[in-house]
Amino acid sequence: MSFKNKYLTGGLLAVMSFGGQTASAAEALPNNFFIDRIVNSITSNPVESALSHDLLKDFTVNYNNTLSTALHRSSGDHGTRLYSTTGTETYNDFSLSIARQYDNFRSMSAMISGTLSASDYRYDDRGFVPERINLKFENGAAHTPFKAEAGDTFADFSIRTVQTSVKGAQIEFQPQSKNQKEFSSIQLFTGTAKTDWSKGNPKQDYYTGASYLVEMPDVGLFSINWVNNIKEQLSTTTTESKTQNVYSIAGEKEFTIPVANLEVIRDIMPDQNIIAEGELSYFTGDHSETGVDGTDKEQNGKGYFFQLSGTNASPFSWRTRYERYSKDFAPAGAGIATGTQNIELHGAWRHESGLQTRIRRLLYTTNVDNSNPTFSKTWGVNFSGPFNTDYFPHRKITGTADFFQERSETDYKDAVSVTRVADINLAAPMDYGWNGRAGLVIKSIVDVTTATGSSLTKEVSVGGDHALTYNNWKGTITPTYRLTQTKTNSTNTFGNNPTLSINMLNGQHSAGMVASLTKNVVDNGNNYDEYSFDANYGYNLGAHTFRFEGNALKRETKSAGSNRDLRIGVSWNYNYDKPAGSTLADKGLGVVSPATVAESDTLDVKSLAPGLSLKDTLGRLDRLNIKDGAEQPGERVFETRLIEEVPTRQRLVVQHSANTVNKTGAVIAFDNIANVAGTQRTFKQVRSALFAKYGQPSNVVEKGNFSATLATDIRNGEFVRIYEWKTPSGVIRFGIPKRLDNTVRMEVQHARSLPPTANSSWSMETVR
Amino acid sequence: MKNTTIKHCSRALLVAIICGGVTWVSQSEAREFRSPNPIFTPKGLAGGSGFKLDPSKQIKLNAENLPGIRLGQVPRSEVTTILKDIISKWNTPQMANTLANSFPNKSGYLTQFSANASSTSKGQLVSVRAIQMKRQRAERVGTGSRDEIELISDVVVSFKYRIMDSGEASEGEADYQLEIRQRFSR
Repeated sequence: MSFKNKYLTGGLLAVMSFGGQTASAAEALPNNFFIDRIVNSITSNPVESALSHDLLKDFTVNYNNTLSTALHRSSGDHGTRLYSTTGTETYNDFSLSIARQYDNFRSMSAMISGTLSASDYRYDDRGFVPERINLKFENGAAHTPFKAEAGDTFADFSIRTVQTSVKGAQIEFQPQSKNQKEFSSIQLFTGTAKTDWSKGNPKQDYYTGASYLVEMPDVGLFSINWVNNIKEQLSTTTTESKTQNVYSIAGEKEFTIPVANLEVIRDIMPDQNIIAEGELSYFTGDHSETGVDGTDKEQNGKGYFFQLSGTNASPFSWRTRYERYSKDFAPAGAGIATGTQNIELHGAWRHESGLQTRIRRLLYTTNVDNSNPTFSKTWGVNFSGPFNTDYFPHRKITGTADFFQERSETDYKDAVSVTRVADINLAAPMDYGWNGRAGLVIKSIVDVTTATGSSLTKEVSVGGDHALTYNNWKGTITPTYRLTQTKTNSTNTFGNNPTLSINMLNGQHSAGMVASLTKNVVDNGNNYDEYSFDANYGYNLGAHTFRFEGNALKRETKSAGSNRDLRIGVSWNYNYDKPAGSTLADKGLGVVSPATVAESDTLDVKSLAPGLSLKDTLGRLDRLNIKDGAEQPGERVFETRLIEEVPTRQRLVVQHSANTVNKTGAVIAFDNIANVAGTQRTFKQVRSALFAKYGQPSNVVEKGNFSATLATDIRNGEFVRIYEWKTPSGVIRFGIPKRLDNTVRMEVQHARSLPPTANSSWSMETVR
Repeated sequence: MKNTTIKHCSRALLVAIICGGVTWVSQSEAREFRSPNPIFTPKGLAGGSGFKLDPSKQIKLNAENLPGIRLGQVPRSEVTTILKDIISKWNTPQMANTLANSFPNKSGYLTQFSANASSTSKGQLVSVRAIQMKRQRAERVGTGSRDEIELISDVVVSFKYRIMDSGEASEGEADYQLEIRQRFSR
């Protein structure tokens, strides 16, 4: 009678639920007179006195300040050194935001963040640098409700027109219709995409746009968009200035095909609930695709996109997608690849056990409109979730197994290759308190044309987590071992990579370390070894957090020299939070009011809010048929997908203490970070899906570009991507955090609060 | 008028389960153009179930306008009675009239009864765990000499239920957002 448990909880009915209360941080503080004295002396500071002034009584105030200093040392071969600048580098990051709710319908907020920098790693110039400024006002009681924004804003019309952060202004009007179910919105924006407030010519990359959005219950949701971009060239260059315009009409309509009325197929297929989406776009003007004025100036291009996705009462869902962008469809602020055509077919089946099976057929074409386009055709199958087998009845095995074959060939057949990949990752609770993990990757590339590009890579990894207790310290120890072999036409490389990670907590103390050794033996003698040790320690004293970070790397190569790199950093973070109507700062010690969070009928971290009880949260997941997560100390990890359309491995994480959820999130892997374009595409796909879910982000930090050195850039703080949305329960953050083990991956986190955006080490370290 | 006590007129109690469009129900998964992000407006206050409020008839919620009525809450006993009634309608055609038209995938939800439950299975309320007032507003509905006021309360109620089927019982927990309309006359 398993259906009974679905009563009232088909994922649709449960509307609102109450969150529990997070454990009071006060419980974690030792009742120690000496410590109390220190806290009191530190917290009586002039910043707090100023921010708790009567003038700010009606405002919510948040101030965050981080003073960081780090010593960088590099020795050995110049070409492979990790740190280009050595010595002590110091900077101070700050952010101040205030917000006021005048009544139910009118509100304002203002924020400024920036740095006082004396560090080449933090900022090119020395001194005071405002990085993000934003002012917002919303009035729902006006004749035409509107919201206006100035400063750093995010322009988001559609993935084919504009999705980029600009410095400028934006206004949205929402004319009211007599029919309450109708909705319309007019959005206008103008601004420069330059990254610095203090330098650069705004017209070097300047956007202006307008968008009209209308939703009518019987017709659907439609949007008309226009975006103009100007790239004015410096007088010192000979290249001419460029102007382009992109126009689009986009729409979405949901409807039901009553398949079940057809007697022949009703037994095998229920009614289909279908979402149809599409966008037609037209580009006219100048771009920079070829670098030659003759083929870049005054061009016209077209972009098409159609998608049908179906859900129904059965566990089967499907999606089919077509998109084509001509070689001259090159909008500057869009998130698509010019000169491509993609056709995708996806089918998914959710088994009763929670396991999901997905099949995909991908037909990609690059260099379209070119004499020699490249076609790649992929078949893939993916299994994720609990793998319950009769062989191990007492083990809850969860994981993912992905298999695909891709044939890529040019029209002239002058470059033909076949790639076959099997990628399996499994986790299961073992004896003696261990949670075991095992992985296997086999990747074969057959270069049919010349054979020089052929290779075979095999990778086996085993690891595990075990709870660790030492005096009052509690945490996890994680040893892992990875063995790789890469065979190309010319070389055969064997790699050994043992790693040991430890993460510990003791009240206001936290500490983590990762020690790793990579030994690569190449049969031509060009061996190379890498030893790394990364550690951090944090100490929290109420509003103050002190952090220590150490990173050491030694690299020895037979052919390209050797180098040693060392970084030792310390930082002091001060956080002040004051709710409106109070002149007292919330020290985070009080009881947190219960969250009121709707249950979602799809997997969504917003509905898995911090503050909910663990039982409620697991109940919500269970109703979505997401079950049997791998249990680790303080967290549960599920092999499932947050962003359905992104094919890479995704894991959902629920972190908890005292039966209350502290943080929920997702870890989304990149397929292969050596593929810069693919990495950027996956990132934009996830970002775009989150924009669709949560709307425009309330905070954006973007620094650096996707490149072949992405891992090093993240490690050095030269690449940052953070997008934040405020929720009633806290904040949702998406981005690519810096990790102790230097893995490059995307994370989504929903928590009451997160480390300041200047601190790029915000990863869920314990999820590996 | 100030001193007139308003009496509860029990016959006019209207309940609808509302959902979606209110706050945090997620929108389409993969939309590749911007989504509606409505600004909260006075008109929006009457939203949710699709009932309209006439601003000219709206009354400020205070003890002066609504003497004798306890504001900011609906008595637990009343919520329990309402909920018992709703759950007794579970797996019956009457459930359709209880769900607000704005209830997401209303027809899909209702059809899952027939797909998943046997015709003999019945629902029961076990206990009400928590009640939270989301918002409350009032409007004048009477005409002429008869002065009637409707107090509209959106409450979220968390509860335990039990499904009985052929002597077997299974229990679960759920949350409803209810729109409760109470009519009072002087």
